[in-house]
Amino acid sequence: MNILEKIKSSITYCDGGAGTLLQSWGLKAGEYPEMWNITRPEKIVEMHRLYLEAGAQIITSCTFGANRLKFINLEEIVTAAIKNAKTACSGYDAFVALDIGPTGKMLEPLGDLNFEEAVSIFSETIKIGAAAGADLVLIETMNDSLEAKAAVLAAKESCDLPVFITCVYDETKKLMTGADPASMIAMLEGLGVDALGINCSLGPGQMLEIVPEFVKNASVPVIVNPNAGLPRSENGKTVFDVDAAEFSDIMCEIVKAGATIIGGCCGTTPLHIAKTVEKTKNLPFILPEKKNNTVISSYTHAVKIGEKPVIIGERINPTGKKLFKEALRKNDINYILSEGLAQNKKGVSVLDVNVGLPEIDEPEMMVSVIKALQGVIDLPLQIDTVDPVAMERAMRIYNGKPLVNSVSGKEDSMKAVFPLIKKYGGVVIAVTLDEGGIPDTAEGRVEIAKKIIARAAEYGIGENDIIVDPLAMAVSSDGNSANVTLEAVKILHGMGIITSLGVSNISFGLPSRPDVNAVFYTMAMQNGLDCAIINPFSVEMMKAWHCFTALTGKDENCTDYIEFASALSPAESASAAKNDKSLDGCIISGLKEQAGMAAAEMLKTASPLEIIDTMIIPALNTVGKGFEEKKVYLPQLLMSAQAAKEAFDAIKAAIPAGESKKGKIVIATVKGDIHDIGKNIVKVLLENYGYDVFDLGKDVEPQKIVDTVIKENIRLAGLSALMTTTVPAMEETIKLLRKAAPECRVMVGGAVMTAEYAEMIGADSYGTDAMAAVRYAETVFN
Amino acid sequence: MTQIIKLQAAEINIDPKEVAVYLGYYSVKPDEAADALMCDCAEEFRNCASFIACCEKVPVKIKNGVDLGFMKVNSKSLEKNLAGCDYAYIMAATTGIDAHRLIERNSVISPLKGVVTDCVGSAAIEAFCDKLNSSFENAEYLRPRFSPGYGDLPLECQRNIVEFLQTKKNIGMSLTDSLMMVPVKSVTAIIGIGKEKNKCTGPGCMICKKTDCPYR
Repeated sequence: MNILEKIKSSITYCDGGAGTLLQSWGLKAGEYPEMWNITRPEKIVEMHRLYLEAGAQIITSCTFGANRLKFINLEEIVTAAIKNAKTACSGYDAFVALDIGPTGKMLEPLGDLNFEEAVSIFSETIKIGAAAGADLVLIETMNDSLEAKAAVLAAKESCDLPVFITCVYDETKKLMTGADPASMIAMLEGLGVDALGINCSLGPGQMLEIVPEFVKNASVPVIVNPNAGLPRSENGKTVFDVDAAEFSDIMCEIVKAGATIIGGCCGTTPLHIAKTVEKTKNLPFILPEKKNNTVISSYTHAVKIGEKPVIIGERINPTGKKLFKEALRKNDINYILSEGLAQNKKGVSVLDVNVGLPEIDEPEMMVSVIKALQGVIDLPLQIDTVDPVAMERAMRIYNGKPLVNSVSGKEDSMKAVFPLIKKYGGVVIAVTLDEGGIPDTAEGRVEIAKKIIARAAEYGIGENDIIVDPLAMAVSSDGNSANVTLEAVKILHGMGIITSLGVSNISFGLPSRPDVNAVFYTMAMQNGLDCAIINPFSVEMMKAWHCFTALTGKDENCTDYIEFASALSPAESASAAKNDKSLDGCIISGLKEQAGMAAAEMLKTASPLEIIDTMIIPALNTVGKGFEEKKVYLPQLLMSAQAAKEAFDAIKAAIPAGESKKGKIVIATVKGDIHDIGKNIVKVLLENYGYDVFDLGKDVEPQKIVDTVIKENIRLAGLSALMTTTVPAMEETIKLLRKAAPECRVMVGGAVMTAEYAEMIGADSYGTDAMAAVRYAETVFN
Repeated sequence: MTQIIKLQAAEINIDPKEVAVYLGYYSVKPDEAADALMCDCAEEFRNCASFIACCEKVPVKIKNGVDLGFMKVNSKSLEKNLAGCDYAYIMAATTGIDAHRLIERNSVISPLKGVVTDCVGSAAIEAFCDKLNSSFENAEYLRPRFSPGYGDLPLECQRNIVEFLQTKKNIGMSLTDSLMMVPVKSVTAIIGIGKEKNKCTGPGCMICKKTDCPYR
């Protein structure tokens, strides 16, 4: 019987803790247990034997920390570890699991470990372990969902062994980085793991409370490996507070709750396992049922589609948006992030991400945007692209189970997209068109949907991972188009198929489009539409959604509706307030809304340039001077900067085309540095003063800065570094700039910088604060 | 044995005065608008943060450098700080990844909100460490916290501390290659356990040569 047959036929027992046992045999604090595979193999074999004697059937190799970041002789260690485990298992009906622990580093965008680098680190260990003869890969103690994904992908790409994974949840039932069990299960089952669950950190009692979450959501066997309670120090020795008797009693409850692969983690001993085996071996064996839900997830939570209509925010998309296109060309990720945050605030459940623009590198941009979005927004994302390369790269680094837009009934499309859905896990939107075009009957579209679902099944993709979009077409050019789409939604819904629509196409060519869209959206929801890509800033659409969910009993006590409606009431809106301050007064006082209104008011009698020269710049100068003289403080300076920005935005549209900005400046936080608060302050002030700022973000490769300088013909670069450890990267950037663009001036700043330091690394100017950067820019460009 | 300690947000007092100092108001009271923003950001931070720390007591030997068992380091300033101590606590504390994300998110919303939240975070992690230290056994015997980067104690020591305390596993904190801590509002430190009460004469961050530092 192989391991996969075993876990489907009876309760399977893992082993328990290693650390406590090895320490009692002389492993010193700070000494790596993995080294004992080579230096004291007999002890490792003995430990495995004790667990086998206790009844364990899965023996984990002593390779928890074995990766190339820690060991130079990785191959020797991992090969020896598997050999030790196999030696111990001879004569027993047991399996050897290659144990894979976390790297100890945090992945991008929060940390600096690149996703592909993480995959490569895990792959190296896994290839060695598989070659040495492991029976399965057990990835464990993962407390970051993205790292867990990297490890599973590595296992899938490096060997054909079954993959089990357990992660660490805390008392709040979440991973350290925020994921709940439902989101982890969605992602991991999407990636094709064979069993999943929880280990470490908690004792069995606390884990018992989490097990139902697993059983409710999982379709594969559930693993539970608790600690022996909490550790405490007794006479200099570490002891755990749950003994074998209590542990095994609770393990019985855990099995009754639905876990079928059980063992122990820190502090558990062969006795804990032996007692557990004894007490649970005759309990009923119940595997989780296959769930067939349509679920997508982010790094914190899962979204189940098919219950309440789900809104997918459409605004991260350059189509028809001048500012968005401009942001993409300038690599202005912050602009894109703020579009995402604004939609999040409006209550969308999913964000569509489309960054396709002919002149940009779409795969590269897609990866940057998804990484950045994952750093600040916890909503699931819809990867929206027709480029299979961009789609794959985005799916790889996506921290969860994504929604993918889209596949069609065309053979080429299915051939390109389905392998990706199968490999990375995802729910895909299937649009009902094929080589023959878009059928003009509902039945014709349903036929294509059926064809797509059948082809997906050949790839092993379930119907629950397909959402059909029967396509909304302009009613202005075909009076029957709404009827056809609505009918198709109804038929598909009746067949139990999940549906989605890009709603706004329906009104193309008509006046008052939001009204048409909102009524169509309501009709579609009534016919069973499960999700829709809409503009959440459209009040009409949000009204339709809120009213519909309230009226159909999907908004308990109408709570959301009431909150939404009360926010809509025009009561004391700011726009009604009288503004009696002059524009410069508003800027100096940092009054954002009033500054915008005052600028708009002035525009009636003055030209934009007059407003800038006589009001905005002098006001900024007053505040800036106050800041330099230490009479005005940073928050006030920034409040004024924001007010000035609001004023600029109000008059921007009236600035004649071709009216060029003062000059181009590139700013970046250097390679290795992940903090950019200071740089962002510099950016807002420079923009206030009319400079065209190219913000490359943080942790920026020197070459990228140089490339931007050359491509945009930039005369001033601003570099920021927070720590002494990143100053060398700053120096390298300056060296490269000097060589490639000697005419470009360089100003530097940041917590560790000093004038001497700046001079030493060859900068032209050192700025103590953001105003200093403005002053230096003035000398460069005037 | 490494101990893990979690505190509730309600137990951490984020001092508005402290936040104001980080924002540059050294001796001046912030105006109403700035004050209101500081309070909002502090509230938001408190709701996101998870205050978690780990620490372990180690023996101290000072002879040709400082020997803490898990690492040996040559540092005159640490030697001075730990003089007369037989033991020290090695600690790492963080305000958690959600707080890190909040700072990132607020910086996208506006640089002002970003910088205020960042300063709130600095005040919060300091307050957390103070609270932690006062809860340690024999708190009144403790020397001032001494962190890598203080005086001549190399920043590279962070790696040893992070590895020794298994901070990624225990509290979700890790280091980048350039020795930055993630989550951003985190602290690692060595705290000597003296033999006499309140004899906290050893230098803490005051040993720094940057005598014009506003935080002194």
